[in-house]
Amino acid sequence: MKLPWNESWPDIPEDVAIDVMPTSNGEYVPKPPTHKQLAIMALQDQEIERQRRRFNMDRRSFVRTAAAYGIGLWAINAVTAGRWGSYAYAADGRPGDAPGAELENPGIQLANLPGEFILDTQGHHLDANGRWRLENPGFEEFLKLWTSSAMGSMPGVDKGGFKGFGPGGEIDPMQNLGRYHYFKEMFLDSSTTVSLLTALPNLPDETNILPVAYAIETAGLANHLSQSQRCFIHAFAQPNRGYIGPHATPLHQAEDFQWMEDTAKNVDIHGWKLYCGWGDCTGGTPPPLGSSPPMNGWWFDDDMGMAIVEHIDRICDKYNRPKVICTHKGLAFNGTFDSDKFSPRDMGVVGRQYPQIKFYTYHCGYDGEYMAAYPGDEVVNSSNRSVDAFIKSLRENAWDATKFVPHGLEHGNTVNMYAELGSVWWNCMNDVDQAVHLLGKLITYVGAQRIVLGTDCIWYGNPQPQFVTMRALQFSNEAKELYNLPHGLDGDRWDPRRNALSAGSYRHAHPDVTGWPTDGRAHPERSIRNGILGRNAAKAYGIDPDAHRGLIKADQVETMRQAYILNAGTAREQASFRSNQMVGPRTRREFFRMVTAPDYQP
Amino acid sequence: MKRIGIPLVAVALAAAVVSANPAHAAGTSYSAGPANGDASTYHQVDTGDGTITIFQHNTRQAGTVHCVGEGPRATLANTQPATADTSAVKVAYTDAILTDAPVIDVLVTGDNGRVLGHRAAFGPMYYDSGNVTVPLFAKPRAGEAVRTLIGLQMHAGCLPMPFVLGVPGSRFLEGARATFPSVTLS
Repeated sequence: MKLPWNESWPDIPEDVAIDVMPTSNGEYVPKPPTHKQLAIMALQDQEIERQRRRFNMDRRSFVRTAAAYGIGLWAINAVTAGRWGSYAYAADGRPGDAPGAELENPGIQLANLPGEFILDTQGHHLDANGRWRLENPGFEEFLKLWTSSAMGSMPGVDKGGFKGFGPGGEIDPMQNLGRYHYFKEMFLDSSTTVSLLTALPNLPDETNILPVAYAIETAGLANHLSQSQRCFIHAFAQPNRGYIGPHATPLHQAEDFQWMEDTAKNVDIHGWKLYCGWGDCTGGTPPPLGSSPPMNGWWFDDDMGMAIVEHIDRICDKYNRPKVICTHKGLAFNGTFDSDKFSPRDMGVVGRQYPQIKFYTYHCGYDGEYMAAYPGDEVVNSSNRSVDAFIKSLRENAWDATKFVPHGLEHGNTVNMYAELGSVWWNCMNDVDQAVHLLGKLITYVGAQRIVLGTDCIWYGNPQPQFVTMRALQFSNEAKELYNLPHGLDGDRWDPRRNALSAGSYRHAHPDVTGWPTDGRAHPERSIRNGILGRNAAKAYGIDPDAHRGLIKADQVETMRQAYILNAGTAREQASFRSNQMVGPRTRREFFRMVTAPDYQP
Repeated sequence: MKRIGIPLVAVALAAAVVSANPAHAAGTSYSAGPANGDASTYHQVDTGDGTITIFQHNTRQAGTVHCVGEGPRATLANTQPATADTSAVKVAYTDAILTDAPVIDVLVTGDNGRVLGHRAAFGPMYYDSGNVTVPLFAKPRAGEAVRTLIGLQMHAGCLPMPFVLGVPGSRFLEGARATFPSVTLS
């Protein structure tokens, strides 16, 4: 029998820092790359080779530096920037040519920028040793849908050698999505300040992929190490387990509502995670993937939706928990969910009906559409899955930000509706025009104080590319005019017509905004950008970002990171073990090689 | 109501599209409102009898995560003046056939597009009749033109997965048809 190290052990990848090429989760043939994607990758590759020599570094080390992120931004910029926006730090010429070059810019480094507090509202990991592995194996299939070859194959012996050992490096591929990697990607390899570990669907909780008890342990570990709050959690809930027909109470609803009440009473829960498209037609036991169609998700404005919202409202009052409901909308996940219930058409209805509850629309309804300006109410179908459908849902219930513009101002915020960018930003950030339209229309119709960045990592590996691009996005003059944002994302969240980075904005009291600073200093913490990166979510969850930042500077997690990161605060800043890899099949040939392998399962 | 089979509704819907002969929308006049949908969809409105038909075959999407597209949507518009007491709009429907995904959507607006009320009713339905009553959250002025936009709409369906046919979230065919004989302001 051969041991794997008798063969050449795979080196850690030399992939570029911001990879924009198509990829598949193993369930579909990747689209052919566009000319833009090819051009971005070619430029990035050439520039990395040039700059690594200039830095006197090998490629493997160089692609894990801050400078590599700067090159990635420059390449996206060079190919896609233009009419609607651009990325800063490498806007002109090649990066690093001029003295004091953009590759030294702090925006591509790990340390937080002035005013920055990153609260990632959508972090994930799983309990790799949980009961779900035995009692709920459909989840393992689900994870393969999402991550495919990222997981590696199951451990065993094949053709005289060991198999297993996915690119994440774990013998058991599920461990690649476990607590260790979550902790490393979030708190060591990225600029995350606080991570919200959100919940995944399944009741009873004991067979959930991430049981509440396990999530509590993770949050406890992070918070204990840091002696501050670096991690908090959601709990999953559903109203439809044991579905038996329309207008009939599902068999397990009372039991599940009691579990929710017990959880609210005993656990420091910061919100409830709901999946309207999570159907249940088997009396409460989710069927293995593909075996039975659970076409009985629910709407917030049907009997089951109203029942669970009323219940959450009641138990949060009773146990003094934040009234926060987070729900997946968009991303159809065909084959796993009742995809039509992932349309955001009901968000405006329920938001208007329960103004005392904060609703986070995860993914903003996005389902892979090309992002452009909102085309108008007449042409948008709110039953679709798209960001425009989410906006239409608010507008057709007179609950969008334009209905809440304070006297004397020109921008408003919805009362209680939050747009969450998990997966949306990841998909749009590689095309500047799409990124600008995404944020421009959400600022207009949801509000500058109602957009929150979730990264959907660890599913997407390291979240840092998402933070680097968010820090760098600049609106063009045409985009500023279209969205009435004269300072782009640097505008003040309370009045985007004022520049938060300019001391001149804060010399005199604002006639229409109470609490306006008058100290004659710039206030980057008030910018739209920093609101999206974390301060909007912090306010909604009752977290004081500035108190946190003081604590975090001295915490043990930060100390660990300082020891882990090389050359911090320079272009050579390096996270030596950053994964830097998109691991699904990238081409048609790779896809068919994968599906014809003996151990492939859809 | 009994949960009904998608194929049965699809067949009934197809037959209805070919041989529709519903009652006339007596006393209620309609104009055609906005309608959308991509190449996988079909939509039709009959302003004379107040009937809307939408239909789609699910052939979009290459993968399991994204189902990009424009589902079908078609609407009828009715405009009436409000009285001083108007607080709700009742829309009657008859012969409604809906598969799981479509919804009956009723949007009520006043002058300058000001939204006054909004409500939906859900499938599945099989030759059902009933009303969608929309309580108005904003009160119209007496004499204000109240526009009621009645629509059938659904999401962009997914291509059945190539490896396991008929998995959840995807059907080959989906559709809806309903007649709206009256719109009453009360």
